[in-house]
Amino acid sequence: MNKNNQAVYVVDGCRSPFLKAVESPGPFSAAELSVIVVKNLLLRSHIKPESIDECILGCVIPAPDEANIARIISLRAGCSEKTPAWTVQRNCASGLQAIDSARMSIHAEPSRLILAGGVEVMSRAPMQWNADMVRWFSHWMKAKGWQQRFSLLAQLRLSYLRPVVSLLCGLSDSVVNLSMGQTAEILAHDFSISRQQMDKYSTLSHQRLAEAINSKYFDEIAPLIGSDGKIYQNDTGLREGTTTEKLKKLRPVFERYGHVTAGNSAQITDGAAMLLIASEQAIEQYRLKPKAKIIDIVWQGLDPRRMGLGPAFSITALLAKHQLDFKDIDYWEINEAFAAQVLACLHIMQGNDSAKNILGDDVPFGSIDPSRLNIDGGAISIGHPIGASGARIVLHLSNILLRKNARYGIASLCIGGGQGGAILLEHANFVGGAA
Amino acid sequence: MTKKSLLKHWQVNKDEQNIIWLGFDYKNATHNVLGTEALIQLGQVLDELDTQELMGLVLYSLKDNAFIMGADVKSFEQLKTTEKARELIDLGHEICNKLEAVQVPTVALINGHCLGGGLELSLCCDYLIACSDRQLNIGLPEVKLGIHPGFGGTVRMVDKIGALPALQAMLSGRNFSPRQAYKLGLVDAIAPQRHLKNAAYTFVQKHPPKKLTRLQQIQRHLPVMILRLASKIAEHHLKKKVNEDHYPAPYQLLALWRDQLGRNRKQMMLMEKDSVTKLFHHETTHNLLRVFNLRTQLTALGKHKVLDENLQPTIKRVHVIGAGVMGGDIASWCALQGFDVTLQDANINALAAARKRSYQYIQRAVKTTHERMAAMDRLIIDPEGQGLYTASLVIEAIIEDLDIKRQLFSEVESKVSTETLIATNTSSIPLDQLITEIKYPERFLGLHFFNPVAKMPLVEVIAAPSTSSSALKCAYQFVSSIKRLPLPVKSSVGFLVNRILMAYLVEAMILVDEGIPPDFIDTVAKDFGMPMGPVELADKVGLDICHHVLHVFGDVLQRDEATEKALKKIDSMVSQGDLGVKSGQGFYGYKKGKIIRDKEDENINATDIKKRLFARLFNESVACINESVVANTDYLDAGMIFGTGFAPFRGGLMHYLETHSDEVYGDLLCFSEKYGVRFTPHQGWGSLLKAEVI
Repeated sequence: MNKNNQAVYVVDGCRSPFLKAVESPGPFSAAELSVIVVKNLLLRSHIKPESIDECILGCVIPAPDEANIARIISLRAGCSEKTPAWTVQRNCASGLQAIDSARMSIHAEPSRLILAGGVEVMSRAPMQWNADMVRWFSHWMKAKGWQQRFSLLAQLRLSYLRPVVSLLCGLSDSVVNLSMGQTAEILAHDFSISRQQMDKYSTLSHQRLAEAINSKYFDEIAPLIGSDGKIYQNDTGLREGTTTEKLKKLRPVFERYGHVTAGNSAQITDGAAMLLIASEQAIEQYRLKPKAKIIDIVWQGLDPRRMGLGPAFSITALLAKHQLDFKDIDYWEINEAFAAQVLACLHIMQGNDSAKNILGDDVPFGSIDPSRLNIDGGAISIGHPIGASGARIVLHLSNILLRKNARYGIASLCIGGGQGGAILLEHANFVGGAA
Repeated sequence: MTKKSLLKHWQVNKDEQNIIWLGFDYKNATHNVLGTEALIQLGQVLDELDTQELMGLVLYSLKDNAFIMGADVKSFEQLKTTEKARELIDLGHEICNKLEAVQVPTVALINGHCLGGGLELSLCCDYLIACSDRQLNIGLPEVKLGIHPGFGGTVRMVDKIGALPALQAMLSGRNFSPRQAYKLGLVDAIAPQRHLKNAAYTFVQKHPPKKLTRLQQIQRHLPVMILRLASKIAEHHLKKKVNEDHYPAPYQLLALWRDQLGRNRKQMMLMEKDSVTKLFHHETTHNLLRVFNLRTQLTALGKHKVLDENLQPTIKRVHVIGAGVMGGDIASWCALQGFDVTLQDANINALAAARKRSYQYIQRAVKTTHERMAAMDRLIIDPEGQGLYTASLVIEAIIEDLDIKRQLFSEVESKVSTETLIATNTSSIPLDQLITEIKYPERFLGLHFFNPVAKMPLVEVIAAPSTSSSALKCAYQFVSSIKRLPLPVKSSVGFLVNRILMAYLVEAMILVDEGIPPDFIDTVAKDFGMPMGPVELADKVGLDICHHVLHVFGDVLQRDEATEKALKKIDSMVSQGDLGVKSGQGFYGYKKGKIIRDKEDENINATDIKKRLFARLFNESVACINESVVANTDYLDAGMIFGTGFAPFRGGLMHYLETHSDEVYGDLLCFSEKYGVRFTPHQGWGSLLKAEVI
């Protein structure tokens, strides 16, 4: 089968409001969020759940009762028992990985209609017993008689009670022994990015989100209602009316004398984003109106210590592969894991300094117009539920292409562990430019 | 296996291990009941039993849904004389004793509902094993039919679970789930369907002695003194709940239980026989049986097999518009009963309140976490009405405004598929006024729910002249499938229940206007057997809603001077903001939603007040029958009992009139001169009275 003939489309998408993790556990479980989003998405696209051929979800830290969460969601949302469902994991780009997996699936089986997306409820990431405590427990279970038990009790130490926070483990790289924030500190140092530049960029992110909410650009959001009747209609991470001066007051959180603060990093957030991905055949069969065509997705690996440069690697590779130039792309989404990391990517992609040594000399270089990048805010203001962000930026970029009647868009993310992923989208019914 | 005999209702098989498998399959019925014939045949089987080399006997059901639903309630109506009733009771006792006397281990394998006589029969077996993975009820609900256990159940229940728990179970008539029954000690084991047979083998082979928990052991040895004291406490509680004149059965059951204390088994059995026989020809029993039959009749409406499946769409997805109390509760109830529901309302706060209420209700009503989760998953809030496009039934429950509703329906019709049923939950507006904008009126009908949806079993299914019969059948089926009772009603002002009820509420308002204390009026009504007084009810419904409904009613209720005067008072109360419970002040004052009652005893003629209230009720009922709002008097009675809780022990309004029509008619004539033209008898009394004269 000729791969290139199989066009793959983003039909529509839906996401939950992204809820800043202010208290743990948050109001919704990952499965709950996703089920609501999937049900809303299907209602919006007038698709019956039974019509779905496959369900693929990205999720990094599911709750203990959410193993293969994609299957749980598929069944709870009313998809057929016969619909296969699987969960993918590529850290911060798990949502994009789900879309890529859907694309592969359509390449193999052209008739498909697939639910793909991601979810993360970071506020409910499990806390575990540490190894000492687990060992102590296993002895306790085997203990016989009160004497053995008594001596075991005497061995119990307070330090055994120190929990393992899986969220913190998930956000650090055990190979190079650095937290994600530290990798951002390295980039800030390498490219001489100042604290002020980072805070300025972050302020812009919040301003753009506030404007986008006011302009009602987020009809992609399905409202949520908690069991206590509380209403969630918008992303809750927005620091309304924040300024560079206010952000300046925050302390660095990863390195004492560093520059990376909670204000210029992505937020810890709960959220789900789902897309309906269809082959050309499925588009015809269900008479769907797609938003965007997925031209390609590329992945690149790099130094884990500088994982934040992932977008620069994957974007330049993607452009080179399709012989496109920076100016051919109308709108950009680069996931704002850290302000330092986005700024570093923008800097290196211009081809300055050692760019050719790092990215290679066979790729195009160029600059991205800031007014075309993350125009409605990004992870710094919206939040970064790691499994869901990939799906959110693809969905939002599709909507931007429609809104602006623009042809090409690229969305990209850096990935903990040293990778980058980028997707090239084309407006599904572009009118005006060269067809 | 060898077939031992060929009987109509019983299948007897003996397996290689010499265990007799006795299967009950009541012929020509969907579920098993203990009819006289079935009992006699069981007796024959037991008589012919050769216990010489037998290992054991297992009683089970060949029906899919029910083990034994109890005695044959239909046959009760023929038990007009005391002798006939006694014959049945004696037969039941005889057969039960035979089963109890079987020498080998006996097991009742409860693989479906096991109620009343069915449980009494099972209690004669050495062991009861219930199926744990099915929705089934186990219990002795006889009091609900105005009788009490009469096949030895009052004795054997005490043997099985102890005197106090047995009393509780029988007095409440409560149904137990298999798990609850196991905890209670009523069944000896529970097992999933796939292991039932194995469980039966185990019990037959091992023949274990009965295990009692410590609590049960203590209960077995409570001194009679304490039990007598307990019966006094029980009586005290009973008096708070039910009126002995209205419902004698629970009181008689309690007396029997007390008298049985300390007697020998034979005496106890005899006492039970005497006691239950007395109840059989009590009027309440017959009326409660009538209510039982009315329920069956309405349930049956939704169960008609459809000849052509293609002609009739089945409901899969429900879309409810309007997240007020009614809309929200309807959506929540449908989701609880297994339907995918979208709830639409432009006001997100209303949706939030509905979702919260639904969550709280489901938390209480659903026992297991995964079922709760599923129920909550099925209810989707839908501010933009996206659910319309794929819904198979749309239920409108927005404000009672003709123009807004009309506009909504034309919008709804532009979005739904052509097969989608469109229903309105209007409580008063006739359907022909609503369909003016509808292009396909054959799929338009009324589904009128009652508040609170989770408690009131009735749904009026209202047909406009244009409604197609397949749409109606589909609606009956839907209403049954959400475990409500469908009542076919012709579209007219106020439909059935609200129209009759309004006449009675208006009379209560006139009485208040005349200066009778509300509390007095309510007490009179409750003494007659109404679950709530009319004034209290008006306050609860909300005076603004009463006001609006009365406005829509126009001249349907006969209005006279007194009526206008009372209605003016309502006008002024509503404009003052006294709306009833919700505003804290109506006819009564309210503190935190509870009535503040002032105790005043005045010498008022209660008889006249009672007669006036109910004369209006009866007069309006006769008018409804005369105008064919419902097809027959049974439907009318069912509507009032299941829609308003009208005194079930009276058997219904029209049933009451069968014996009291002359008296009520006389009152009407007299009152129409004394109090005003609103009492003028409607057309339709003629036939009732004639029938009486003949």
